[in-house]
Amino acid sequence: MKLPYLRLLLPAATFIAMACCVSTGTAQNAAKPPIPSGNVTFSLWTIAGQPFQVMIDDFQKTYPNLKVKWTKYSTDEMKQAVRVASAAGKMSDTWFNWGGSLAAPYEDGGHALELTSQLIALYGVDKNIVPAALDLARHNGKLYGIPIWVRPMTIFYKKSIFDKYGLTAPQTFDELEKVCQALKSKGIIPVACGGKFSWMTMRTTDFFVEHFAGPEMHDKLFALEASYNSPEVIKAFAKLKEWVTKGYFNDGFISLDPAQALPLLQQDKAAMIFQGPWIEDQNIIASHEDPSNYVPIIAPADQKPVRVSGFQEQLQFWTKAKPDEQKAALLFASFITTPEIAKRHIADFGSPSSVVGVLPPENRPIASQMAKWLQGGVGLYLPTDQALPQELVNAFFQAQDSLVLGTLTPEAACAQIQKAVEEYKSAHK
Amino acid sequence: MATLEQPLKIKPLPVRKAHARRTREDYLRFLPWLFLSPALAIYSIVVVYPMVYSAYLSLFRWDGISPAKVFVGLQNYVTLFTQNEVFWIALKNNAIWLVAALLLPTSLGLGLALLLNLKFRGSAVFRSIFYFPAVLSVAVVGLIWTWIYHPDLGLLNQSLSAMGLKGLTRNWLSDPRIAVYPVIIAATWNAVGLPMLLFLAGLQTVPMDLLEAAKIDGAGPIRRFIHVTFPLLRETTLIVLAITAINALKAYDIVYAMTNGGPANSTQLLSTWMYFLTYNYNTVGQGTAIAVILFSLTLIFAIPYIRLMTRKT
Repeated sequence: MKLPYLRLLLPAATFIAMACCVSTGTAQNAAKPPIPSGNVTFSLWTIAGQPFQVMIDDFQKTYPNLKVKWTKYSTDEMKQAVRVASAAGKMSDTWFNWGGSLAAPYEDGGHALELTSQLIALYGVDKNIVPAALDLARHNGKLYGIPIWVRPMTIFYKKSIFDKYGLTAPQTFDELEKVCQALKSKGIIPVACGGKFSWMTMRTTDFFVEHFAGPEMHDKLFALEASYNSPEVIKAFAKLKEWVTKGYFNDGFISLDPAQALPLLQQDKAAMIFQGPWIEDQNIIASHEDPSNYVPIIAPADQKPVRVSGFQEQLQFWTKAKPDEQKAALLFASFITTPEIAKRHIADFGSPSSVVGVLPPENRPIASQMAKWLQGGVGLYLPTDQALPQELVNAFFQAQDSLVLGTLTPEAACAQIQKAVEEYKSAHK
Repeated sequence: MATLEQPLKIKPLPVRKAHARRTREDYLRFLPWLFLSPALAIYSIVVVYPMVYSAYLSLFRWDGISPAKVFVGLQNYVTLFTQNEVFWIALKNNAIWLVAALLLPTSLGLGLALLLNLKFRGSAVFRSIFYFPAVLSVAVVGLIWTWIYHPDLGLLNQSLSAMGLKGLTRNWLSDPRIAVYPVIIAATWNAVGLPMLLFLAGLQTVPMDLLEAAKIDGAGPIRRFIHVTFPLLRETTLIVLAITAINALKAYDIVYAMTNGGPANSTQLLSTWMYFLTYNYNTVGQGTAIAVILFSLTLIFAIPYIRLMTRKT
């Protein structure tokens, strides 16, 4: 089995090209996308917290005959709504989606519009979007959406706590473990985690797999071409168990809501967390805290090429939408990913943006730091819950959480995942 | 002259008249269906059709998105019963939940109703206070109790520590052996208002003269309750038990809000596992098979309840 969207190595050149080579002028030279005539209203489904309002206002001001009917959902409601709509044959004209195996069923099922080379050129996708984001979005070599954001996920540490105890940011895996040990001895929780939905724990598990198995094997695991029974993966799971046993995570983290994990850092009870750039706006600035006190570091997997976990977020388009609605939806996505528009709203629309040359504002140190990494050649690997087929995600979560709870050994947990993989492969021959 | 042996000559009714009467009778017989038809049509579309379609989907292997559905017969049911460990955990949790729901909110609701039925100053305020959790959305209830059970910052562990009972502190929602019980307590807090209200209403129908007669005969409060009040609350009790049982089988949102079925699926109920299989893990066939099983279990309680209500009407 081969899943081409898992080819996630993002070479430095692509990001450097992103920032330096592509200019807004290039995008402007592209053919202009068609604007539907007459009054057209198209539907847009996104997650409630996403700041689309600023873009919608600007779009409707620019194109007064086009109206956006915006529907907002919580994260899980969003997944449910899109799935039900696809089964009912009445999808939104455009909708927010992640990539990988979360988007693949809509792409394989013919619900998401394939952006042909003609459409890509017409809507300036190839000129406006950084190649790395396009790589993450591609499925079987084809593009089915326009990426909006790129979200790396890595370790953050709270600077004031590190300063207080004379600790420095770890550069290697060994240093990270020494830091954890030191923090634990001072009565500080080394890593805050909210494992209720399993995906926050998964970020640490993925990081351990990246460290022990290396990028190549990690990608092969996602492509179901390597075995979870291999010693490298067992070592990764054993390390997770070791961290749990040593108390490097907060007590009872396995059932804690992810939203309750960051407060442990904010209350100086924990020193590190595995998170993404969205916490800068949604949690840190919203709590009137200084974002420079929360420092993202490249999770030290000690591997080459250097990678962190991450994913892109995109808008997809319904294949069967009425032509005018489809054109309007494509125009909207093209509009918000036009560099000058994206730059104008970067402070409100969130970052890191997928748009070329659009860097986070100065007062967003976390997003700026992450954007610099990406431009400097740090690659991304998909998180397991987007990389593995969804049927297998449960097996992974169940094994991981059972390991944490002590009901499975690392060997048994890995064997359980591999068994599910074999069953999946045999059912999908 | 006609004799008894002679057959009676009965003059047949004119054919036209008999036909007219039958038509009128037919019309009257179908009239209620005519009036019911708009409601039946809506019910069929929004309730019956989805149920039948769900049962139909349970016979297929389908990810819920792709156009292709593969017919597998009863294989999804076989897989659930023979290979899906979480299904059995969910079934067991549903049984625990059902027993707890029949015991806790019902008995607490009855106790509160008896207390609040006493005449005392401010009883209306207390009725509102005790009913208050029932008006909260389950998501809010889940959030409140998740914070109460928070291992580091939660009210429960902090209170136990403050009382010198640190040994009793637990990671309440993190231990798969006990995690379902704290969720049941939160659900009970939320659910006790409805039985309380129904019992309060039932208590208003207990004739005072019977209670006074029992009192004159020397019966104390407990004997009056056992021999007079409770027997007269029989129908209310049956309704409360049926509603509570049906609600217990339908329980979903409180688990979703508090534990998301975890840790390691230890607090899954049939309803939550159905959701996970259908919407998260792309196995619509198994998810809808659980829906059919859950529906069948619910009927065990729903049919007596409906019969009782119909008979009462």
